Amino acid sequence: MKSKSGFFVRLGLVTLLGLVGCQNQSEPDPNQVTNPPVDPVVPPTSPGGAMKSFDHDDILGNIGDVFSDGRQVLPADGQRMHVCGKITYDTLGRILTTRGIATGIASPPADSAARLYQTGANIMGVANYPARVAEADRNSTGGLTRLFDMFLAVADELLPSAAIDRLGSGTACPGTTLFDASNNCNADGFACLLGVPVSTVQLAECSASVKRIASLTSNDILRAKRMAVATIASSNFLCD
Amino acid sequence: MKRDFPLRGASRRDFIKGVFAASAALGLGPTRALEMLDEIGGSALAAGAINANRTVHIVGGDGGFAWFTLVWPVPGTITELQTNSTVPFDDMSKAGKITSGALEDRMLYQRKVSSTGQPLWANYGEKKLVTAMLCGTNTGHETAPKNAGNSNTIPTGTIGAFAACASIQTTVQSLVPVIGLNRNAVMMPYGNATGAPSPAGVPDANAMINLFSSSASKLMTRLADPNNAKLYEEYYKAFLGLVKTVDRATYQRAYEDSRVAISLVSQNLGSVLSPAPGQVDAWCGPAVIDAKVKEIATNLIVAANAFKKGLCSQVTFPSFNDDPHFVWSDLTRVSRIADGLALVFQSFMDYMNTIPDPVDQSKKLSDNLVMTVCGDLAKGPFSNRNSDWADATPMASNWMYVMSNGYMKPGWFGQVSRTGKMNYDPDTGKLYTPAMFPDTKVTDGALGAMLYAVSRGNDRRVRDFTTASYRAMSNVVL
Repeated sequence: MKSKSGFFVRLGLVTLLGLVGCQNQSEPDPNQVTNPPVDPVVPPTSPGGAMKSFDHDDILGNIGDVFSDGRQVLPADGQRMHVCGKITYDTLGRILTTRGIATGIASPPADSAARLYQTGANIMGVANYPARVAEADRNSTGGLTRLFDMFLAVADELLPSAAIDRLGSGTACPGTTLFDASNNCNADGFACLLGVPVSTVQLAECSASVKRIASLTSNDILRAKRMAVATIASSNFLCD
Repeated sequence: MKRDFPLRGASRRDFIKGVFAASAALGLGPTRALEMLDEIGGSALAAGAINANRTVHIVGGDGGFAWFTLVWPVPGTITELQTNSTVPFDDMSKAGKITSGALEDRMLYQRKVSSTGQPLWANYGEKKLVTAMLCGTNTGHETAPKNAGNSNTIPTGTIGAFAACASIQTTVQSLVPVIGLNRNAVMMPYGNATGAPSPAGVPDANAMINLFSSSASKLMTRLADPNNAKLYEEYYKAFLGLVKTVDRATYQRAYEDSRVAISLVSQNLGSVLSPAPGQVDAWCGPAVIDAKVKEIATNLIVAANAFKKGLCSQVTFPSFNDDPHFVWSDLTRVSRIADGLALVFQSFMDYMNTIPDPVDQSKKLSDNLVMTVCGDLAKGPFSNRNSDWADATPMASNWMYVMSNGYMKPGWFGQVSRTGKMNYDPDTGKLYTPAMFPDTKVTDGALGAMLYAVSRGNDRRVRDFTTASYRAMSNVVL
């Protein structure tokens, strides 16, 4: 039996194709309104603030109302710029290197973050200049798989044991650690790793996750910390 | 579902594009669009939307290409074998003469498969008949033919034919689009073409499997422990829910992809892609003792499994690389290897014929596959096998075999004889001497025809890479 949704989907497709076909007609429609009325409805504005997003020191407030001064970009451009983009391959390498993961070393060990980084260039969509293909600006599923695999290795290497924290061995934030002595997530340490401050909620959830995972794994604090680092980094570096 | 749908050619493609665009605008996925095409115009229309085949390119470098002339012999060799037993073919009774009307006035022999007694792929009808095209020149010895005049570069634009294939195949979304197995750290020919993805070069079939298996899935300290994998997935989703863009519509597609990636990073695909126990032995038959045949079988099994999972679109690998000058002193071994090759190819196609195409479930993978075999040189098809299977070919001829799945006309285009070769006009198929019709023009047309097959008959897409005519080889009646 065919579903009603199938009928509506077909109807929608036919209507949309019809509309596209009409738009492609070379003869102008004599009844077409050349000066359509301006939409009087003012779109709602989104409040800023650190709770919802990273507050760029209130600079957004000085831009003005982009919906009223005509400075907004086309919807297609807006969507392209606000979509989840990919961190460029080189940038990712620099981020990791300055956080204590040497991605550029020769002959890195198997399964290390550096090996995964070096062998993952093509999968992560680097530019192919001879073929005139620029670096991808979106992640592919394969690229994301490699990215996540790499952050699992990064977590292992930043935390080689429960007592050693190597985040501060990089040049980005010397001496900073990801966790404090009570195994709570350190705001400065995670801000250093991610490149943006973590919210209060994220920080609290991070510390809670360490305790919860430890309780599920016979108090395996090292595994809990690594899991917290890998999952937070993976979810944050998913987009540029 | 079979229905008559009146649109043809460019209008048909525009309609398909329109349905996909409308489907996207309505927020429906590509699968739903294919279902709609199937309902509106039948399965043929839906299949038309999948506009690229998967490809396997076998490169017989360092003279190894010669072994494949025992599967698809030069017709002149078989003709002469009737009166001269020194030409390099092992057994007259194993050369299956194809008599299909699709050959028109061309000739074709395909080796008989030992298990069936029938010519290779005879159970699939005309679509799997091979096209053998004079193409490029004898450039040996090369591990991966890249020298000027080789058989895989479109001369006018110096475009790599396999890169052009990959560019066409970008419509088939796959995890790692192109995989090239290296030979002693030498990458197989690929070249350049606008829009081609970078190939992932790996040393062997095992490394190919590892390409898809994450490190995390192999280590107990990471995700090999199922408890870790579960915790990782749960907490990834929890932290993703806290990022500032979680509710933005424009980020949702990336989040969907990330959920697939999270699933993949936990999986060890080694067991999925590796040959099943006994599979290689069954494919090779008695030739399982020959390492080179076994290697080809393993590569093809892993490639088929990768296609099955939708992980890649193109696999290129080297074969033999053994410069077989004096192999004919052991005729038993030569026959065993040649029979093994035919059995491996037959087994590969039979296996692909059991697997639904992950992109187009109405078809099997064998329906959406193009295979090519080329090399640096094929060795003399009229050499005296009792002395030396010499490198020289008549007038430096070289050729390429293509299993086009019916998009190209089968049989030999061009002729190789003891006294020389005859080129052909890719526009008309008529034979000319090389002086009248140069190799470069022939190669352009031949590779254009190969791209036509990969693009599933989309001439407009071929025109992105060559302007050469290939009308004589293209088969528009499928």
